[in-house]
Amino acid sequence: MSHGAPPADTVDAPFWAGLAGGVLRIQRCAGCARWSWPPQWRCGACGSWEMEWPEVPMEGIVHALSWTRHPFSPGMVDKIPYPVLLVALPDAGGARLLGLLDGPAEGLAIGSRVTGFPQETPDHTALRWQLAR
Amino acid sequence: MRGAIAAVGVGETPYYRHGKAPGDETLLTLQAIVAACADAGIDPRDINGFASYADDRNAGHTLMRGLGTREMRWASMAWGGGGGGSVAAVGAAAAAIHSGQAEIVVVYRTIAEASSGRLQDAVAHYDMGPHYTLHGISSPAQICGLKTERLIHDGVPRSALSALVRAQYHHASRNPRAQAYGKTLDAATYDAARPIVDPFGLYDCSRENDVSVAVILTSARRARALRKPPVYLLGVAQGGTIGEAWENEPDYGSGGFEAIAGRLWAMAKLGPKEIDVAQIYDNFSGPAVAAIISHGLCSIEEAPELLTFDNLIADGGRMPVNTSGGLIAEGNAHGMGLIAEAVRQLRGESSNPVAGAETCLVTGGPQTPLLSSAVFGTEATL
Ligand SMILES: [Zn+2]
Repeated sequence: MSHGAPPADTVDAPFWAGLAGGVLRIQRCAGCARWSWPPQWRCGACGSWEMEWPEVPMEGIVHALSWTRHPFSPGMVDKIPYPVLLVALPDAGGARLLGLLDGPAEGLAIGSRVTGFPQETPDHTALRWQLAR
Repeated sequence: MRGAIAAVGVGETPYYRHGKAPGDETLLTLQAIVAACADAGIDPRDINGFASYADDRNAGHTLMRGLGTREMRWASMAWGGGGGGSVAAVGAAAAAIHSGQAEIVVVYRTIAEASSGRLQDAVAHYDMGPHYTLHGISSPAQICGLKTERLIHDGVPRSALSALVRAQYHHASRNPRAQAYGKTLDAATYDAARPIVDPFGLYDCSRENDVSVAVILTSARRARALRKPPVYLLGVAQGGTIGEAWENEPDYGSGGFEAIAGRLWAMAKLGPKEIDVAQIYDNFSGPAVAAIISHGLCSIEEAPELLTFDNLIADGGRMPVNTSGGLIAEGNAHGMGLIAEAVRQLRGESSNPVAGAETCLVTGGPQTPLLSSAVFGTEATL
Protein backbone atom coordinates (compact mmCIF):
# COMPACT_ATOMS: atom_id res chain seq x y z
CA MET A 1 0.00 0.00 0.00
CA SER A 2 1.86 3.05 -1.26
CA HIS A 3 0.50 6.56 -0.87
CA GLY A 4 3.69 8.60 -1.15
CA ALA A 5 5.76 9.79 1.81
CA PRO A 6 4.76 12.84 3.87
CA PRO A 7 6.93 15.93 3.39
CA ALA A 8 9.71 16.46 5.94
CA ASP A 9 9.74 20.26 6.29
CA THR A 10 6.14 21.06 7.20
CA VAL A 11 4.70 22.07 10.56
CA ASP A 12 3.52 18.51 11.18
CA ALA A 13 6.92 16.89 10.49
CA PRO A 14 7.43 15.93 14.19
CA PHE A 15 4.21 13.87 13.99
CA TRP A 16 5.62 11.73 11.19
CA ALA A 17 9.10 11.61 12.73
CA GLY A 18 7.51 10.43 15.98
CA LEU A 19 5.65 7.62 14.26
CA ALA A 20 8.84 6.55 12.47
CA GLY A 21 10.30 6.13 15.97
CA GLY A 22 7.24 4.20 17.16
CA VAL A 23 5.80 7.10 19.17
CA LEU A 24 2.64 9.23 18.78
CA ARG A 25 3.42 12.93 19.25
CA ILE A 26 0.78 15.69 19.28
CA GLN A 27 1.58 19.41 19.39
CA ARG A 28 1.05 21.45 22.56
CA CYS A 29 1.83 25.09 23.23
CA ALA A 30 4.75 25.57 25.63
CA GLY A 31 3.39 29.01 26.56
CA CYS A 32 -0.16 28.17 27.64
CA ALA A 33 -0.18 24.34 27.61
CA ARG A 34 -3.14 24.22 25.19
CA TRP A 35 -3.17 21.25 22.84
CA SER A 36 -2.72 22.51 19.29
CA TRP A 37 -4.16 20.34 16.52
CA PRO A 38 -3.81 20.71 13.58
CA PRO A 39 -0.31 21.88 14.52
CA GLN A 40 0.65 25.53 14.05
CA TRP A 41 3.87 27.57 13.89
CA ARG A 42 2.47 30.00 16.46
CA CYS A 43 -0.15 29.61 19.19
CA GLY A 44 -2.99 31.89 18.14
CA ALA A 45 -4.46 31.75 21.66
CA CYS A 46 -1.49 33.09 23.68
CA GLY A 47 0.92 34.27 20.99
CA SER A 48 3.75 31.92 21.90
CA TRP A 49 6.10 30.70 19.18
CA GLU A 50 7.31 27.85 21.38
CA MET A 51 5.50 24.66 20.55
CA GLU A 52 6.34 21.24 21.97
CA TRP A 53 5.55 17.69 20.87
CA PRO A 54 4.92 15.47 23.90
CA GLU A 55 4.40 11.74 23.50
CA VAL A 56 0.74 10.75 23.78
CA PRO A 57 -0.66 7.26 24.49
CA MET A 58 -2.02 5.56 21.36
CA GLU A 59 -5.47 5.24 22.88
CA GLY A 60 -8.55 6.84 21.41
CA ILE A 61 -12.30 6.88 21.00
CA VAL A 62 -14.02 6.63 17.62
CA HIS A 63 -15.64 10.03 17.00
CA ALA A 64 -16.86 9.24 13.48
CA LEU A 65 -16.75 6.20 11.28
CA SER A 66 -17.59 5.55 7.63
CA TRP A 67 -17.10 2.49 5.46
CA THR A 68 -15.56 3.19 2.06
CA ARG A 69 -17.14 0.89 -0.54
CA HIS A 70 -15.94 2.48 -3.79
CA PRO A 71 -12.26 2.26 -4.83
CA PHE A 72 -11.37 5.95 -4.48
CA SER A 73 -7.71 5.29 -3.59
CA PRO A 74 -5.66 3.25 -6.08
CA GLY A 75 -3.55 1.84 -3.24
CA MET A 76 -6.60 0.59 -1.34
CA VAL A 77 -8.54 -1.26 -4.04
CA ASP A 78 -7.87 -4.67 -2.50
CA LYS A 79 -9.10 -3.47 0.93
CA ILE A 80 -12.66 -2.53 -0.16
CA PRO A 81 -14.79 -2.23 1.90
CA TYR A 82 -12.79 -0.63 4.69
CA PRO A 83 -13.75 1.62 7.62
CA VAL A 84 -12.25 5.11 7.81
CA LEU A 85 -11.98 6.29 11.39
CA LEU A 86 -11.84 9.68 13.03
CA VAL A 87 -10.25 8.97 16.40
CA ALA A 88 -10.32 11.41 19.33
CA LEU A 89 -7.39 11.29 21.75
CA PRO A 90 -8.57 11.86 25.35
CA ASP A 91 -4.95 12.31 26.47
CA ALA A 92 -4.36 15.12 23.97
CA GLY A 93 -7.32 17.35 24.68
CA GLY A 94 -9.57 15.42 22.33
CA ALA A 95 -7.39 16.08 19.26
CA ARG A 96 -8.70 13.97 16.39
CA LEU A 97 -6.75 11.88 13.87
CA LEU A 98 -7.96 10.26 10.68
CA GLY A 99 -6.93 6.65 10.45
CA LEU A 100 -7.53 3.15 9.24
CA LEU A 101 -8.57 0.10 11.19
CA ASP A 102 -6.27 -2.90 10.93
CA GLY A 103 -7.96 -5.82 12.61
CA PRO A 104 -11.42 -7.24 13.22
CA ALA A 105 -14.25 -4.71 12.84
CA GLU A 106 -16.92 -6.60 14.73
CA GLY A 107 -18.67 -4.21 17.11
CA LEU A 108 -16.91 -1.15 15.68
CA ALA A 109 -19.09 1.94 16.21
CA ILE A 110 -18.95 5.61 17.15
CA GLY A 111 -17.80 5.58 20.77
CA SER A 112 -15.68 2.43 20.43
CA ARG A 113 -12.32 2.47 22.23
CA VAL A 114 -9.38 1.85 19.93
CA THR A 115 -5.66 1.26 20.39
CA GLY A 116 -3.10 2.48 17.89
CA PHE A 117 0.11 0.95 16.67
CA PRO A 118 2.76 2.02 14.16
CA GLN A 119 2.79 0.10 10.92
CA GLU A 120 5.58 0.22 8.34
CA THR A 121 4.50 0.87 4.76
CA PRO A 122 6.79 1.21 1.73
CA ASP A 123 6.92 5.00 2.11
CA HIS A 124 6.47 5.83 5.76
CA THR A 125 5.39 4.66 9.17
CA ALA A 126 1.64 4.88 9.49
CA LEU A 127 -0.63 4.83 12.51
CA ARG A 128 -3.20 2.05 12.44
CA TRP A 129 -5.95 1.28 14.93
CA GLN A 130 -7.57 -1.82 16.35
CA LEU A 131 -10.52 -2.24 18.66
CA ALA A 132 -9.43 -2.14 22.31
CA ARG A 133 -9.88 -5.47 24.07
CA MET B 1 -26.35 47.05 1.20
CA ARG B 2 -29.73 45.30 1.59
CA GLY B 3 -31.62 45.68 -1.68
CA ALA B 4 -28.94 47.90 -3.26
CA ILE B 5 -27.64 45.21 -5.62
CA ALA B 6 -29.66 43.00 -7.97
CA ALA B 7 -29.16 39.97 -10.18
CA VAL B 8 -30.28 40.85 -13.68
CA GLY B 9 -29.08 38.09 -16.00
CA VAL B 10 -28.61 34.32 -15.94
CA GLY B 11 -26.87 32.24 -18.60
CA GLU B 12 -25.38 28.81 -18.92
CA THR B 13 -24.19 26.14 -21.29
CA PRO B 14 -25.81 22.70 -21.26
CA TYR B 15 -24.63 20.31 -18.54
CA TYR B 16 -22.37 18.04 -20.59
CA ARG B 17 -20.97 14.77 -19.26
CA HIS B 18 -17.53 15.42 -17.82
CA GLY B 19 -14.96 15.45 -20.61
CA LYS B 20 -17.64 15.82 -23.30
CA ALA B 21 -17.96 19.59 -23.80
CA PRO B 22 -17.47 20.62 -27.42
CA GLY B 23 -14.84 23.20 -26.52
CA ASP B 24 -12.49 24.46 -23.86
CA GLU B 25 -13.35 26.41 -20.73
CA THR B 26 -12.82 29.77 -22.42
CA LEU B 27 -15.47 28.95 -25.03
CA LEU B 28 -17.94 27.68 -22.44
CA THR B 29 -17.41 30.74 -20.24
CA LEU B 30 -17.99 33.13 -23.13
CA GLN B 31 -21.15 31.24 -24.11
CA ALA B 32 -22.56 31.42 -20.57
CA ILE B 33 -21.71 35.11 -20.09
CA VAL B 34 -23.08 36.15 -23.48
CA ALA B 35 -26.27 34.19 -22.72
CA ALA B 36 -26.56 35.97 -19.36
CA CYS B 37 -26.11 39.32 -21.12
CA ALA B 38 -28.89 38.47 -23.59
CA ASP B 39 -31.13 37.48 -20.67
CA ALA B 40 -30.41 40.80 -18.97
CA GLY B 41 -30.49 42.99 -22.06
CA ILE B 42 -26.89 44.11 -21.49
CA ASP B 43 -24.17 44.57 -24.11
CA PRO B 44 -21.35 42.11 -23.22
CA ARG B 45 -18.87 44.94 -23.77
CA ASP B 46 -20.34 46.75 -20.76
CA ILE B 47 -19.40 44.11 -18.21
CA ASN B 48 -16.57 45.61 -16.19
CA GLY B 49 -16.15 43.20 -13.31
CA PHE B 50 -15.42 39.49 -12.95
CA ALA B 51 -15.84 37.33 -9.84
CA SER B 52 -15.31 33.61 -9.41
CA TYR B 53 -14.16 31.02 -6.86
CA ALA B 54 -12.57 27.59 -6.35
CA ASP B 55 -9.44 28.47 -8.33
CA ASP B 56 -11.46 28.81 -11.53
CA ARG B 57 -8.90 29.24 -14.30
CA ASN B 58 -10.92 31.62 -16.44
CA ALA B 59 -9.67 34.94 -15.12
CA GLY B 60 -11.40 38.07 -16.35
CA HIS B 61 -8.48 39.12 -18.51
CA THR B 62 -8.73 35.88 -20.54
CA LEU B 63 -12.31 36.79 -21.47
CA MET B 64 -11.93 40.48 -22.29
CA ARG B 65 -11.13 40.18 -25.99
CA GLY B 66 -13.90 37.65 -26.58
CA LEU B 67 -16.44 39.82 -24.76
CA GLY B 68 -15.15 43.08 -26.18
CA THR B 69 -14.70 44.42 -22.65
CA ARG B 70 -14.13 48.16 -22.76
CA GLU B 71 -12.40 48.30 -19.38
CA MET B 72 -11.95 45.76 -16.59
CA ARG B 73 -12.40 47.48 -13.23
CA TRP B 74 -12.76 44.52 -10.88
CA ALA B 75 -11.51 40.91 -10.81
CA SER B 76 -11.67 38.76 -7.69
CA MET B 77 -11.33 35.15 -6.58
CA ALA B 78 -12.87 33.69 -3.43
CA TRP B 79 -10.36 31.34 -1.83
CA GLY B 80 -11.00 27.67 -1.21
CA GLY B 81 -11.00 24.59 -3.35
CA GLY B 82 -14.63 23.63 -3.03
CA GLY B 83 -18.04 25.17 -3.48
CA GLY B 84 -17.78 27.13 -0.23
CA GLY B 85 -16.77 30.21 -2.17
CA SER B 86 -19.65 30.16 -4.65
CA VAL B 87 -21.87 32.65 -2.87
CA ALA B 88 -18.78 34.49 -1.60
CA ALA B 89 -18.15 35.41 -5.24
CA VAL B 90 -21.61 37.01 -5.27
CA GLY B 91 -20.60 38.92 -2.14
CA ALA B 92 -17.40 40.13 -3.78
CA ALA B 93 -19.29 41.30 -6.85
CA ALA B 94 -21.83 43.10 -4.69
CA ALA B 95 -19.06 44.78 -2.67
CA ALA B 96 -17.43 45.97 -5.89
CA ILE B 97 -20.66 47.48 -7.16
CA HIS B 98 -21.79 48.92 -3.84
CA SER B 99 -18.43 50.65 -3.32
CA GLY B 100 -18.43 52.10 -6.81
CA GLN B 101 -15.44 50.14 -8.05
CA ALA B 102 -17.40 48.46 -10.86
CA GLU B 103 -20.89 48.80 -12.33
CA ILE B 104 -21.77 45.48 -13.98
CA VAL B 105 -20.09 42.36 -12.57
CA VAL B 106 -20.45 38.81 -13.81
CA VAL B 107 -20.16 35.92 -11.32
CA TYR B 108 -19.33 32.65 -13.02
CA ARG B 109 -17.84 29.19 -12.70
CA THR B 110 -16.66 26.99 -15.54
CA ILE B 111 -15.54 23.38 -15.43
CA ALA B 112 -14.30 21.36 -18.39
CA GLU B 113 -12.23 18.30 -17.80
CA ALA B 114 -10.15 18.92 -20.93
CA SER B 115 -8.97 22.25 -19.47
CA SER B 116 -8.78 21.61 -15.72
CA GLY B 117 -8.80 17.84 -15.21
CA ARG B 118 -11.30 16.07 -12.98
CA LEU B 119 -13.04 18.30 -10.46
CA GLN B 120 -12.71 15.68 -7.73
CA ASP B 121 -8.93 15.63 -8.20
CA ALA B 122 -8.70 19.41 -8.03
CA VAL B 123 -10.76 19.53 -4.83
CA ALA B 124 -8.83 16.65 -3.25
CA HIS B 125 -5.52 18.26 -4.13
CA TYR B 126 -6.65 21.49 -2.49
CA ASP B 127 -8.08 20.06 0.69
CA MET B 128 -6.33 16.80 1.40
CA GLY B 129 -2.78 16.50 2.64
CA PRO B 130 -0.93 13.42 3.86
CA HIS B 131 -3.13 13.01 6.95
CA TYR B 132 -5.86 12.12 4.45
CA THR B 133 -4.08 10.40 1.60
CA LEU B 134 -1.89 8.25 3.86
CA HIS B 135 -5.04 6.95 5.59
CA GLY B 136 -6.94 5.70 2.56
CA ILE B 137 -8.85 8.96 2.03
CA SER B 138 -8.58 10.57 -1.37
CA SER B 139 -12.12 11.76 -2.09
CA PRO B 140 -14.27 14.48 -0.52
CA ALA B 141 -17.02 11.83 -0.55
CA GLN B 142 -15.23 9.97 2.23
CA ILE B 143 -14.98 13.05 4.45
CA CYS B 144 -18.60 14.00 3.77
CA GLY B 145 -19.50 10.40 4.66
CA LEU B 146 -17.70 10.65 8.02
CA LYS B 147 -19.45 13.92 8.85
CA THR B 148 -22.83 12.62 7.81
CA GLU B 149 -22.43 9.45 9.89
CA ARG B 150 -21.74 11.74 12.83
CA LEU B 151 -24.82 13.87 12.00
CA ILE B 152 -26.94 10.71 11.95
CA HIS B 153 -25.39 9.67 15.28
CA ASP B 154 -26.40 13.11 16.61
CA GLY B 155 -30.06 12.49 15.73
CA VAL B 156 -30.80 13.24 12.07
CA PRO B 157 -32.66 10.29 10.53
CA ARG B 158 -31.29 8.61 7.41
CA SER B 159 -34.74 9.13 5.91
CA ALA B 160 -33.93 12.85 5.58
CA LEU B 161 -31.22 12.05 3.04
CA SER B 162 -33.57 9.90 1.00
CA ALA B 163 -36.33 12.53 1.12
CA LEU B 164 -34.02 15.30 -0.05
CA VAL B 165 -32.56 13.27 -2.92
CA ARG B 166 -36.00 12.13 -4.11
CA ALA B 167 -37.33 15.70 -3.91
CA GLN B 168 -34.42 16.88 -6.05
CA TYR B 169 -35.05 14.19 -8.66
CA HIS B 170 -38.72 15.17 -8.61
CA HIS B 171 -37.71 18.75 -9.41
CA ALA B 172 -35.13 17.71 -12.01
CA SER B 173 -37.67 15.52 -13.78
CA ARG B 174 -39.44 18.73 -14.86
CA ASN B 175 -36.30 20.76 -15.62
CA PRO B 176 -35.22 20.41 -19.26
CA ARG B 177 -31.64 21.46 -18.37
CA ALA B 178 -31.29 18.66 -15.82
CA GLN B 179 -29.32 15.46 -16.13
CA ALA B 180 -32.33 13.72 -14.59
CA TYR B 181 -34.93 15.41 -16.83
CA GLY B 182 -37.88 13.06 -17.21
CA LYS B 183 -36.65 10.71 -14.47
CA THR B 184 -38.07 10.50 -10.97
CA LEU B 185 -36.56 8.38 -8.21
CA ASP B 186 -38.64 6.18 -5.94
CA ALA B 187 -37.65 5.08 -2.46
CA ALA B 188 -37.00 1.48 -3.46
CA THR B 189 -34.62 2.52 -6.24
CA TYR B 190 -32.86 4.93 -3.89
CA ASP B 191 -32.47 2.20 -1.28
CA ALA B 192 -31.12 -0.29 -3.82
CA ALA B 193 -28.40 2.03 -5.14
CA ARG B 194 -24.81 0.89 -5.41
CA PRO B 195 -23.13 1.81 -2.10
CA ILE B 196 -20.32 4.38 -2.47
CA VAL B 197 -19.23 5.42 0.99
CA ASP B 198 -21.44 5.12 4.05
CA PRO B 199 -24.06 6.43 4.40
CA PHE B 200 -24.10 7.38 0.69
CA GLY B 201 -25.26 5.36 -2.27
CA LEU B 202 -24.92 6.48 -5.86
CA TYR B 203 -27.94 8.81 -5.76
CA ASP B 204 -26.60 10.72 -2.75
CA CYS B 205 -23.61 11.87 -4.78
CA SER B 206 -23.39 14.65 -7.34
CA ARG B 207 -21.70 13.72 -10.56
CA GLU B 208 -19.23 15.85 -12.48
CA ASN B 209 -20.13 17.85 -15.56
CA ASP B 210 -18.51 20.10 -18.11
CA VAL B 211 -20.50 23.31 -17.81
CA SER B 212 -20.38 27.06 -17.35
CA VAL B 213 -22.94 29.15 -15.47
CA ALA B 214 -22.94 32.96 -15.21
CA VAL B 215 -25.06 35.44 -13.25
CA ILE B 216 -24.81 39.20 -13.80
CA LEU B 217 -25.16 41.66 -10.92
CA THR B 218 -25.52 45.41 -11.00
CA SER B 219 -26.92 48.22 -8.89
CA ALA B 220 -30.65 48.22 -8.13
CA ARG B 221 -30.90 51.57 -9.92
CA ARG B 222 -29.45 50.17 -13.17
CA ALA B 223 -31.38 46.93 -12.71
CA ARG B 224 -34.75 48.67 -12.82
CA ALA B 225 -34.00 49.94 -16.34
CA LEU B 226 -33.33 46.43 -17.71
CA ARG B 227 -35.72 44.00 -19.33
CA LYS B 228 -36.58 41.57 -16.52
CA PRO B 229 -37.71 42.11 -12.93
CA PRO B 230 -34.62 42.57 -10.73
CA VAL B 231 -33.89 39.94 -8.10
CA TYR B 232 -32.50 41.83 -5.14
CA LEU B 233 -29.64 40.74 -2.93
CA LEU B 234 -31.01 41.16 0.59
CA GLY B 235 -28.02 39.76 2.44
CA VAL B 236 -24.76 37.92 1.88
CA ALA B 237 -22.05 36.60 4.19
CA GLN B 238 -18.90 34.57 3.84
CA GLY B 239 -16.15 33.23 6.06
CA GLY B 240 -15.87 30.82 8.96
CA THR B 241 -14.89 30.57 12.60
CA ILE B 242 -12.68 27.50 12.62
CA GLY B 243 -10.15 27.60 9.80
CA GLU B 244 -8.33 24.56 8.56
CA ALA B 245 -9.21 21.85 11.05
CA TRP B 246 -8.22 18.42 9.73
CA GLU B 247 -11.59 17.13 10.98
CA ASN B 248 -11.25 18.79 14.41
CA GLU B 249 -14.33 21.03 14.15
CA PRO B 250 -15.91 21.08 17.64
CA ASP B 251 -19.39 20.13 16.35
CA TYR B 252 -18.24 17.63 13.75
CA GLY B 253 -21.58 16.82 12.12
CA SER B 254 -22.62 20.46 11.75
CA GLY B 255 -22.77 22.31 8.46
CA GLY B 256 -20.77 25.05 10.18
CA PHE B 257 -22.94 27.97 9.05
CA GLU B 258 -24.07 29.21 12.47
CA ALA B 259 -21.96 32.41 12.55
CA ILE B 260 -22.45 33.17 8.85
CA ALA B 261 -26.20 32.64 9.10
CA GLY B 262 -26.34 35.09 12.01
CA ARG B 263 -24.68 37.81 9.93
CA LEU B 264 -26.80 36.88 6.92
CA TRP B 265 -30.10 37.23 8.76
CA ALA B 266 -28.95 40.51 10.31
CA MET B 267 -28.11 42.03 6.92
CA ALA B 268 -31.23 40.66 5.24
CA LYS B 269 -33.41 41.80 8.18
CA LEU B 270 -35.25 38.49 8.21
CA GLY B 271 -34.80 35.02 9.62
CA PRO B 272 -35.08 31.38 8.59
CA LYS B 273 -38.86 31.42 9.12
CA GLU B 274 -39.18 34.03 6.35
CA ILE B 275 -37.39 31.89 3.73
CA ASP B 276 -39.85 30.71 1.08
CA VAL B 277 -37.51 28.45 -0.92
CA ALA B 278 -33.87 27.38 -0.58
CA GLN B 279 -31.09 26.35 -2.94
CA ILE B 280 -28.69 24.36 -0.76
CA TYR B 281 -25.23 23.27 -1.93
CA ASP B 282 -25.45 19.51 -2.33
CA ASN B 283 -22.19 17.92 -3.40
CA PHE B 284 -23.66 15.06 -1.35
CA SER B 285 -27.03 14.67 0.33
CA GLY B 286 -25.71 14.65 3.92
CA PRO B 287 -23.85 17.97 3.77
CA ALA B 288 -26.99 19.59 2.30
CA VAL B 289 -29.05 18.34 5.24
CA ALA B 290 -26.35 19.67 7.59
CA ALA B 291 -26.50 23.08 5.88
CA ILE B 292 -30.30 23.21 6.19
CA ILE B 293 -29.96 22.57 9.92
CA SER B 294 -27.08 24.95 10.58
CA HIS B 295 -28.97 27.79 8.89
CA GLY B 296 -31.77 27.19 11.38
CA LEU B 297 -34.34 26.19 8.76
CA CYS B 298 -34.92 23.10 10.85
CA SER B 299 -33.48 21.76 14.11
CA ILE B 300 -32.11 18.25 14.59
CA GLU B 301 -35.17 17.53 16.73
CA GLU B 302 -37.54 18.72 13.97
CA ALA B 303 -35.66 16.86 11.22
CA PRO B 304 -37.66 13.60 11.30
CA GLU B 305 -40.97 15.47 10.89
CA LEU B 306 -39.87 18.32 8.63
CA LEU B 307 -37.37 16.75 6.24
CA THR B 308 -39.81 14.64 4.25
CA PHE B 309 -40.39 14.40 0.50
CA ASP B 310 -43.73 16.21 0.71
CA ASN B 311 -42.23 19.11 2.65
CA LEU B 312 -39.19 19.52 0.39
CA ILE B 313 -40.93 19.71 -2.99
CA ALA B 314 -42.09 22.88 -4.72
CA ASP B 315 -45.67 21.66 -5.00
CA GLY B 316 -46.99 22.88 -1.68
CA GLY B 317 -44.04 21.77 0.48
CA ARG B 318 -43.40 23.70 3.69
CA MET B 319 -39.70 24.12 2.79
CA PRO B 320 -38.99 23.56 -0.91
CA VAL B 321 -35.29 22.84 -1.50
CA ASN B 322 -33.23 22.71 -4.71
CA THR B 323 -36.00 23.39 -7.16
CA SER B 324 -33.75 22.89 -10.22
CA GLY B 325 -32.67 19.45 -8.98
CA GLY B 326 -29.44 20.81 -7.49
CA LEU B 327 -25.98 19.42 -8.10
CA ILE B 328 -27.29 15.90 -7.51
CA ALA B 329 -30.01 15.83 -10.15
CA GLU B 330 -29.70 18.95 -12.35
CA GLY B 331 -25.93 18.94 -12.72
CA ASN B 332 -22.72 20.02 -11.08
CA ALA B 333 -21.55 23.55 -11.79
CA HIS B 334 -19.84 23.60 -8.39
CA GLY B 335 -22.75 25.51 -6.87
CA MET B 336 -23.16 28.21 -9.52
CA GLY B 337 -26.29 26.52 -10.87
CA LEU B 338 -27.98 27.04 -7.49
CA ILE B 339 -27.42 30.79 -7.72
CA ALA B 340 -28.92 30.81 -11.21
CA GLU B 341 -31.92 28.86 -9.92
CA ALA B 342 -32.43 31.33 -7.06
CA VAL B 343 -32.76 34.11 -9.64
CA ARG B 344 -35.07 32.09 -11.88
CA GLN B 345 -37.23 31.07 -8.93
CA LEU B 346 -37.85 34.65 -7.82
CA ARG B 347 -38.59 35.75 -11.41
CA GLY B 348 -41.18 32.97 -11.69
CA GLU B 349 -39.06 31.25 -14.37
CA SER B 350 -38.22 28.05 -12.49
CA SER B 351 -39.32 24.69 -13.87
CA ASN B 352 -40.68 24.14 -10.35
CA PRO B 353 -42.16 27.48 -9.33
CA VAL B 354 -42.94 27.92 -5.65
CA ALA B 355 -46.25 29.76 -5.43
CA GLY B 356 -45.86 33.23 -3.98
CA ALA B 357 -42.12 32.88 -3.28
CA GLU B 358 -40.59 36.25 -2.33
CA THR B 359 -37.34 35.12 -0.64
CA CYS B 360 -34.75 32.51 -1.57
CA LEU B 361 -31.75 31.30 0.42
CA VAL B 362 -28.71 30.06 -1.50
CA THR B 363 -25.71 28.43 0.17
CA GLY B 364 -22.17 27.46 -0.74
CA GLY B 365 -20.10 24.58 0.57
CA PRO B 366 -21.09 23.19 3.95
CA GLN B 367 -18.30 21.92 6.18
CA THR B 368 -15.46 23.78 4.49
CA PRO B 369 -13.19 26.39 6.11
CA LEU B 370 -14.69 29.14 3.95
CA LEU B 371 -18.49 29.09 3.65
CA SER B 372 -20.95 31.51 2.14
CA SER B 373 -24.66 32.12 1.85
CA ALA B 374 -27.05 34.75 0.59
CA VAL B 375 -30.70 35.70 0.57
CA PHE B 376 -32.33 37.08 -2.56
CA GLY B 377 -35.74 38.71 -2.63
CA THR B 378 -38.31 40.15 -5.00
CA GLU B 379 -39.31 43.82 -5.22
CA ALA B 380 -41.98 43.12 -2.60
CA THR B 381 -39.33 42.39 0.06
CA LEU B 382 -37.70 45.83 -0.16
ZN1 LIG C 1 -0.41 29.13 23.73
